[in-house]
Amino acid sequence: MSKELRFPDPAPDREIASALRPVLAPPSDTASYWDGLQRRIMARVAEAASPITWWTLSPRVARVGLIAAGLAILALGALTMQAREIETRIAYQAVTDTDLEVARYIPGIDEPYGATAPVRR
Amino acid sequence: MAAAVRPVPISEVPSVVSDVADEKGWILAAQRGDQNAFGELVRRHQRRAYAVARAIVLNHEDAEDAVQEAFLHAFRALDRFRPDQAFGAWLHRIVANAALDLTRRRKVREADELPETVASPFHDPAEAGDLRQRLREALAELPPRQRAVIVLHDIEGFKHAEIGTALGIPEGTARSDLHYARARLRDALGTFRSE
Repeated sequence: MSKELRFPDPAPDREIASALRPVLAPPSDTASYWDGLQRRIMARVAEAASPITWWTLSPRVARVGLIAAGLAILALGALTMQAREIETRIAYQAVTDTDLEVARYIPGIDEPYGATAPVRR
Repeated sequence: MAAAVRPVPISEVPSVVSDVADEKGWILAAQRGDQNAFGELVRRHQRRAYAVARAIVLNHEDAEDAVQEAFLHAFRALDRFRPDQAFGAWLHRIVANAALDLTRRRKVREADELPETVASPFHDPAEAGDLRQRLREALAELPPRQRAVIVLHDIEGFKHAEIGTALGIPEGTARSDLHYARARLRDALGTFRSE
């Protein structure tokens, strides 16, 4: 069993406290100041609590969204074009490969002269 | 003749944070989405929240920003708060985090900009005394955590355990921070007096 050794809290240093207090006080420590701060906080809370719709988005967020959407469309377009290009190339390659296969040997032309020439009687 | 009944402004309503049962009611209502209840919690805790923030950032505008950020964060995280906890301690931790985050961001920004020796745009002509200036400088030289510890302990009357909870540090660290910060500020005060 272990017991944590605890020291009593020292008393606040009055001299330091009285010297620091005016340095750290808000510029206006009045009821109206605190009411104002509360209102500002609650305005932000109300804003955060309201559902986000496209018309409540700030212009900055909307601008960023539009730019992102534009970039996405461009990227999609580039990808589509690239895919189409590859598709076309494969199609052409298939055709040219077939042609080469056909052209590799033409009877009567590719054989040595007289080897397969028809015998005339 | 009956006295006219004047509506009491919200700031004049006595703030009795020790009324735990009452506060629990506000917390439960706020958790159910009652913004007025949350407003009441703001009213009760904003002064101390400001003190916590100001102790760390040293600048009124940043302190206000940190307090606003912290309350907003608290509102969003309210469903994760257990009403059997101390709301003040939970909130102070959020405030301290917001203020420390602001200090970190400011440090990064200031690395690219001109350095400011004392982060306070408010220069009250009446308080242009050398002592305050000296104290401001001494405070600004302290690391934010030590600054927070001495302000929370000596001005706000927090206990070491409460400071530890608010700043997320062990109690012993809060003690040693207080010792070091006091020595630095006493030095500043002493130098001023001996001149």
